[in-house]
Amino acid sequence: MIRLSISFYGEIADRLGRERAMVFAVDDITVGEIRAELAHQDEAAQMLLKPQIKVAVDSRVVGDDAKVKSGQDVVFFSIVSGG
Amino acid sequence: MLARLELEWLDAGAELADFLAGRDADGAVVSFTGLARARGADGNTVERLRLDWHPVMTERSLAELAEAAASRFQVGDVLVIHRGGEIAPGETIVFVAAASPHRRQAFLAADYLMDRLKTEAMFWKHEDGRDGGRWIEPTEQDRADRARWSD
Repeated sequence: MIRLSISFYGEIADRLGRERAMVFAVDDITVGEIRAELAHQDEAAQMLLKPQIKVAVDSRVVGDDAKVKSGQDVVFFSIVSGG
Repeated sequence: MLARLELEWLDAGAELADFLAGRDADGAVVSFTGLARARGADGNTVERLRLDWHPVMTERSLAELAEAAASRFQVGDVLVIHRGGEIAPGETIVFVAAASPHRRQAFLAADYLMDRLKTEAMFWKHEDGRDGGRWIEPTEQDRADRARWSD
């Protein structure tokens, strides 16, 4: 069982809200699997499948192959823009 | 070297005065101030900008860019301050300053910082307007400007 806090920043937060707590009934999971599961559960989350939506785990940007442990903080975010 | 996320108010004049104060080893200071515009790229009216930010990654991204500028150019000091939250037209969004013994390196460092901030600072920028507004992403020009500094 993996319990995660998942938050969203940028345009995706308009559709998905800022944060949701999720429980996955598996022993291990990757970022890519979380992405796919969210999109499967919620039609509004289909946009998470776009490659420009990046992911950070515990505030470090990671790829879809990264493994995620229970209790970690997962952030999905749209393209950034400063200045 | 300093990088800071500012959530309330950014006074570029006061920041520049502080940056200049007591500086006698560097002969040049270049600063840039970015202001919120009242019109968007399509001529749309912007009532305010909303810069969403992350409690850890945003300020760290500013620090990493400031460090990169400080190590790439011969500068004695670098300052990056970026607003987050709600910003009215005319208010300062970003202020950068670089100090160096001679002017060229300070110009380059400030230019480099702004080009990287546009595409890499971890903010999510929304123009609020009467039509609901829109999310702003870096333009092709912003990406080309960033590419100028690729090694």
